[in-house]
This record gives sequence, structure tokens and C-alpha cells, in this order.
Amino acid sequence: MLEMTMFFLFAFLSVAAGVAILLSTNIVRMAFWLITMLVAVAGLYFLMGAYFLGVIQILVYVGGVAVLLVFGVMLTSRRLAPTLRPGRGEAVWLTLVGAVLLVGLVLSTLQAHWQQQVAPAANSAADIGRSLLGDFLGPFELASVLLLVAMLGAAYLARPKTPTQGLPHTKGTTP
Amino acid sequence: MYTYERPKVEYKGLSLTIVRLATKWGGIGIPLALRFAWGIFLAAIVIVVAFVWVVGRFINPLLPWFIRDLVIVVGMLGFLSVVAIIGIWAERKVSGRIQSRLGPMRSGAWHGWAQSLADGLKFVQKEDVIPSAADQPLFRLAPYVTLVPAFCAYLALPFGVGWVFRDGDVSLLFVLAMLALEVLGVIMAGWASNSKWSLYGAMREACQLVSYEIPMGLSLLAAVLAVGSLSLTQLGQAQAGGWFSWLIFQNPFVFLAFFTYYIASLASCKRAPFDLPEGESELVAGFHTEYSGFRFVMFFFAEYAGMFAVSALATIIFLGGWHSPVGGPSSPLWFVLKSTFLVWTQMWVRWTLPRIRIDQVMHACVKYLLPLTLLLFVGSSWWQLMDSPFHPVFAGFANVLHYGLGVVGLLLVGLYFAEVGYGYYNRNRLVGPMVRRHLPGA
Repeated sequence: MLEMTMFFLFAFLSVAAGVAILLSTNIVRMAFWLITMLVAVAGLYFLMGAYFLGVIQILVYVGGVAVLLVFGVMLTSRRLAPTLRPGRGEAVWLTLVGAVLLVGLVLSTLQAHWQQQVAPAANSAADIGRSLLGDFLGPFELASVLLLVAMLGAAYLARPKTPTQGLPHTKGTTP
Repeated sequence: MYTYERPKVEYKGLSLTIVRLATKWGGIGIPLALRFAWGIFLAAIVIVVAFVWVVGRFINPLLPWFIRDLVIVVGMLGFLSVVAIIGIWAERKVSGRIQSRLGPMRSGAWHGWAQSLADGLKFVQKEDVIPSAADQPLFRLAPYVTLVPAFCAYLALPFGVGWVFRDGDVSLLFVLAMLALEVLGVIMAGWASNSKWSLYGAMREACQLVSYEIPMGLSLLAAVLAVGSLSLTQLGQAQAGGWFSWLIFQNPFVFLAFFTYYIASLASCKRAPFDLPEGESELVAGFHTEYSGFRFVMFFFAEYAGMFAVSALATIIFLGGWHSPVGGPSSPLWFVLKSTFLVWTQMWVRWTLPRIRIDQVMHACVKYLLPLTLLLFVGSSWWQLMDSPFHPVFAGFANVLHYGLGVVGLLLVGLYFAEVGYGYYNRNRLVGPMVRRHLPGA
């Protein structure tokens, strides 16, 4: 009973926050709604007993990614609160893509043969670590290479556009 | 001869009146309560137990557990408030003494002990100002988003064996996650205030926190490797047996990791020399410039709760947790004592070091602290591989080094106490007493 209540609380919160992301026009508000959704999903993980996953969700997504997102938004926007509204052409495309995605998700959920049995949960950090460095070593390494490429790309994009000699804050920007 | 007469000052204002009345009636009430303390305590226990038994027997079998949790949560809130109140008073006394002043002396009878209470009363009476240009809902929400995670971190912190609200496999990560959530409230406050000072503070906080989280986690992991568990209770229990079994002296990498963790935790608590988000001399008050009254107090409470939480983490993981250094019985008192010492060190550092610039903060993290902690992490895992019966020579060397590090730690503590003694012995050579001695009427 209590579990059910908590499930519906978290599920409602995540869905409502997801809808709120779509409906709000202020980009920083959107970011905070996104954070609400991520925390609610972490609550669902806790409810399922996957404590490690829930904690990592908060630590990485909320504490790292979302904070960086808000930081980036605040740093790049000229005014403090730019409003975002899609144009008419954009709206048509977005509706189409969204509809296809929704239909696909609903169909795959209905078609799937759900197994009504308790899966052996990889709850502890040790289990997850063993499978990451054992069965799933290949995908794990590929993901780390992908992240490295993304980091190099970000550093390339963020490099100073004018050639400088030495560090900019020590020698100035004269070539 | 001229005699100096101390001018009579009339204090006015509701808060001071209340504090004065409280100290006056407390002077009668507290000794009375203390005289019958054991009786009151036992009667309270009997009443609570009887109530819980009745509820569990006749109304709902799950309710006693709920009541137990409720009592613990309320007690934890009380502990947090006491930490914040004593912390704020201690910070002012420490800053005063380090700057050769007296600090607060008037509120309450003894060394201004009621200063925080008087401040709290004053803040409650203040008008709750919300700027008209502010983002109202986020502005109202931000103090709660800052304080609640700081409180949640305490739910997984063990104060001793069995002295923990919820013990889990991943309680270390849970505490770290809650401390990371706290950033969000600060950013929210800075952005919603719609003031440039607040926004600067929030942006500094965001980049500082996200950078320093990584060295903080990695230096903790360097110690966790030696035990192989993320549960704070197990980490603490692994260090039973006195000074030399503390994790900090386990190997040189963990020894260095304690210091990198301490630096990173200073940054994560926005403490000097990393208090740029607040930056009183440049940003008015940083992210909480626009806050007044009780909302401002909540930011302060969150800061002091965070300070104690990171010190508690350092205590549990590096400094033997609730175990005594001489191998006696373990007790939550040891835990609180060690954490308080680390909090005092934070204050000491704050009033000793100047604030560094934001680019220096980022350089210190990305260029020095981050590579160093990565090195410590790799080194610590290498040490775990080598320090085994398969490498007897290395194991012997490691054992010698382990005791050597313990002796180094003893020397450091001895040096600290020697310096404290020297300072106390020569206290009259400080500027403050020297000036005071020449005042008329001294």
C-alpha cells in the first residue's frame, strides 16, 4: 500500500515535470523542471531497491550534468531569461517526430512479452563493477572512448580563436 | 586621578529583551530541570514506551516504527540546529580571537553564548523581502532546496555502531549525492534573485562545485579501496583498534588523499579560501544578497550543516570514525569530537588564508588537484595489489611505512598541541591584551 502510494507519487512527479519541461518557455525553468524529473526517477530507482543506481543518478545527473546545463544556459544566454517558442515549421516537424516516437514506444511496450519473475538484481556496487569490467568490458571501453572524443571536441570548440603565445592571463594576446 | 567609568548602555529591541528574559528565567529553570533531570528523562522514556506499546498493540503494528523514525528525525533536526547555532557562535569567537578581538561578549552571561539565538530571533522578526524583479517561485524554493539535502546527508551518517538512521550499502555515495544536491539551491537562489551579484555568485558556485566534486570523490575512493566497501558503517568498523589502524596511515597515497579531500571539501562547502560564491568584499553577499530574514538563516544553517557533514565524512573514512585513538571503547562522542576538530580547522583556515581568485581556483583544481588525486587513486589501487602475502618484501616495507606514517601523524598532533601551549603561555604578548592593558581603567 505504502509502496504503491510512493510509486504513484514519484511516477506522477516525473511525468508532470516532463510535461512542465515542454510547456515552460523559460529555459532556466526548463532546466529546473528537468532536475525535478531526474530526482523523481531516482526516487523510483530507490523504490525498486536499486540504491546504487538511484544514488548515481542523483550524483551524476543532478549534481553534475544538470548543474553544468544550468551553468551553460546562464553563461550563454544574453538576457537572463530568454523565452523559447518553436516556429510553425518546427512545430509540424516536432509533432511528427514526437508522434512516431510515442507510437513506437507504446507499441513496443504492448508487444513485449514481460516476464513475471524477479530478475537477479545487480544491487551492490561490487556486482555492477564486476559486470562492467567482465561481461560488458567492450561496451564500457567504447563508452569511455566516446566520452574522450566528446571531451576533445569540447576542448577544440572552446579553444581561443586568436593564436596566443603562452597563457592569455600571463602574457596577453599579442602574437 | 582620572578614573574610567564604563558608560551605561541601554539595550533596546524585542530580541534582546527576549534573550535577557530567557537567560534570567533559564537561570532558575535550567538548574531546577537539571536537579530532576533523571526523573524527567525516565518519565519521558516510560511515557513514550507505553504510548508506542499501546499504538503497536491496538491500533497499527507498523506505527511504532513510524513513530521511532519520526522521533529520530526530529532529534536529528535538533542536532543540526545545535551544530549550526554553536558553529555560528564559534565562528565569530574564533575569528575574534584570531584577529585579537574578543568577539561577541554581551548576549547571554558567558562569552556571548546566546549571540546566535539573539540573531535568530532578530532574523525571525525581519521583513521577508522578495525583489519585484525576482523569479518568485524559484526564489521562495531555493532556501529549502539548499537546507533539505544538507539535512538528508545526516540520515545516512553513522555516529557509531547502530547510531545511524538508515544504514545502506552505498551510504557514502548517498551522502556525497546529497551534498552535491545542495549546489542546486545555491544556483537557484542566485539566478532567481535577478541581481548581478547573486548571478556571479551562483556561476562561481556552479563551476567551482562541479570541478571540486571530482577530486573529492576520487580521494575518498583512494581510501575506500583499502576496505572495499561503500558502507560508512563498515568503513568505520574496519578501523577499530587505535591510532595505527586508522585508514589515513594505511599507505602514503591515502595519507595524501586525506589532505586533497580536505582541500576539496573546503571548496565544496564554499569555505575560505574558496568562498568566492559569497565573496563579501566583491559581491556584497554573493548568491544570498537579496535574501533577508529566515530565508537567509536557512542558507547559513545549510552551510554549517554541510561543514559538519564533510568533516564527519573525513572522520569516518580517514580518522577512525567512532574509535578512540588509544584503543579504548568506541563511542559516538569520539566521532563528534573528531568532527568538531575538523570544523574548527575549517574556521582556522578561513581566518588565516586570503581568498583566491576564481581563475586560481579553477587552475588549482584542474591543473594540480585533479591529476594528483588521479595519481593517488591509481597508486592506492597498485598498493592494494602489491601489499599481499605474495610479495613478502613489499609487505614488510609497507608495514614499516604504515607505522612510520602513524608516527608522522603523532608528530603533527604533538606539534599542534605544542603550538597551542606556546600560544597560551605567551598570550599576553598578543596585540589585543597589550592594548587592553594600557586602556584607562584596566
